Amino acid sequence: MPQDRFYDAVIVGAGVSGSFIANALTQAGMKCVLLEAGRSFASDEYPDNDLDAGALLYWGGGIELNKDASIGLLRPKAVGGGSIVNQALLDRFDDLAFDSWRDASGVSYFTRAEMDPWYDAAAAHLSIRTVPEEHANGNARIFREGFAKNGYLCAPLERAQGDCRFEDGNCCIECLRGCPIDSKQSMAVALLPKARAAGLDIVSRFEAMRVEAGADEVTVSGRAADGSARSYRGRRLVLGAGAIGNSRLLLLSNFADRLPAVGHNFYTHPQYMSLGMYDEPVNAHRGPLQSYKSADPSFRAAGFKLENVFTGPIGVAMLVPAFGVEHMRRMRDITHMGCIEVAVRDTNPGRITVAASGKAIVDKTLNAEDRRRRDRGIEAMGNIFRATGAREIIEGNIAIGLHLMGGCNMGVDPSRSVVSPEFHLHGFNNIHVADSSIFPNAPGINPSFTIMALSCRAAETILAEAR
Amino acid sequence: MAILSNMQQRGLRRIGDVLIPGDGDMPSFSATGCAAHADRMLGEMHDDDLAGVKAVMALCGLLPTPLIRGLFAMTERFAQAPAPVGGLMRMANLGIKGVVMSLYYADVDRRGVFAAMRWDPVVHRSSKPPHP
Repeated sequence: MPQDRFYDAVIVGAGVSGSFIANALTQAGMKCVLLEAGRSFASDEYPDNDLDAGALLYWGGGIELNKDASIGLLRPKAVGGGSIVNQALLDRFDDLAFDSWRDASGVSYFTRAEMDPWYDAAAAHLSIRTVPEEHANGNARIFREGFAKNGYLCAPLERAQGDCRFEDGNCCIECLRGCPIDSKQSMAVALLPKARAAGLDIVSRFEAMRVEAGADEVTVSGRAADGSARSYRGRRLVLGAGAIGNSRLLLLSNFADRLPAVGHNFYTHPQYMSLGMYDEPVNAHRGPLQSYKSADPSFRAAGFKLENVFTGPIGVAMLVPAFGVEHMRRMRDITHMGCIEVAVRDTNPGRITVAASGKAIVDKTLNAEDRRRRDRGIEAMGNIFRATGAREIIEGNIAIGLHLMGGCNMGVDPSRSVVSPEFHLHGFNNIHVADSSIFPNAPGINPSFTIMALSCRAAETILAEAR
Repeated sequence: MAILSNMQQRGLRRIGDVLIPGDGDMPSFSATGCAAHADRMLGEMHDDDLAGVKAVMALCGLLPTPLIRGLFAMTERFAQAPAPVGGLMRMANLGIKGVVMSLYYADVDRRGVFAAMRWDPVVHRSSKPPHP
């Protein structure tokens, strides 16, 4: 039984970071166990409707709210983590992001030159393709045309995908519930089968509740799906439960006594979707869900980015104002909607705490600068919709937090950071972290590829220390 | 055991019909029977959040429909207000909408919601055969 073994590494969280590190350590001969609170799905087992997808693939039954209910937080919960439900968009950070990280953390290797080899190492595990422009749907064409008419610059998105067979009419919006044809390069496709074959133990539906760290041994205790208590022991611990998961686990385990920055410096790239209503069908749900991103230097300097995107009827219904007959009238026109989202590079750090019930509480608001960035993005989205003939624009006023970052920020100063440049918790050389929780601030760029790169680097560090 | 009591189920159907009364093309919330699937999502909620949802549904089971409509309209109107009043309004508004819209627009039983919207995304699990 896995809970009776003593592992070389116990890894909490089977998302991107946990999967990359688990694979690297297992391939190097370490005996590892990967613990995940969510379920494990084969490609033909993913939910076939959005109700079950929300309930089974996310914490909180679909969405969690921050303290003042101004941001809806989408926190994936499945073996594979966010890579199961995201669009597998991959971007390397630019100098602006790394310069900002270096300034905030004091960590010298946050440069493109230092990090590029780690991006390359991560990319070696994936099939990465530019979303094919010949299959761009009506929503993507609105985005591209609107950018051109306004003199804005945009660029095709790069995605970790195999063959989505768009020529067969496949629609990637369905893959927000997990890709049923294993084209999307989720961790369940790209990393975990290799790791499992090399001997990795994976335990799903186990919620880690407490960590106890000794000099030579770490114990993770928690509860299994049937409510029973279990513990896993190992020589070292890797935390990959994300910003909220890692912070909650460390706070529940009283690490804040020695690491006062735990739970602080939380960011989320608040995203606001706007809808443009068109006379002709747009069919934003068909083909590739996303094809383009903004590449305009003025947007980057102003602290926001735009992407063409769409969401299923539940998400659209939450955006569309009013209720009753007026709401239904708009929903009936869902195939006539264009959709763009603005992601804000937020500057106001939030804080994660834990309620007496054990639930994570996220206190996170937008400051005046963040609101200014959001408003600039919404203005640009309006310009795009108007330039392409939208008869009505619906500005979404619900912020969505998909990129959950910080809470265990990396830095050289133990009084202001949680994780050292060597990926240790300060003062605990057998506890390692490399996921989005270590981000020193919000980069304003999709975080997934950088989590992979950092995890590759962290795995090498762990292996070097073990030798 | 069911998560929602009969009274709470009744409240869910009533607030559902306030938000989604149905029209010539799309069925009302209660006509789809989607409330029967509520436990599938409620069972995964945090206990604190579930307690709030159950309290709201119980209230909706007791109040007359015009009052339910008025209370929900109030949460819409003040949803952008600053905390703490705005926070409470947003929480109630998003909690109610989240449950109702998730149940209805998932169209789990294919009761005509997707058909009325022409919502038809697909992923073919195997390649289409080549044209002869």
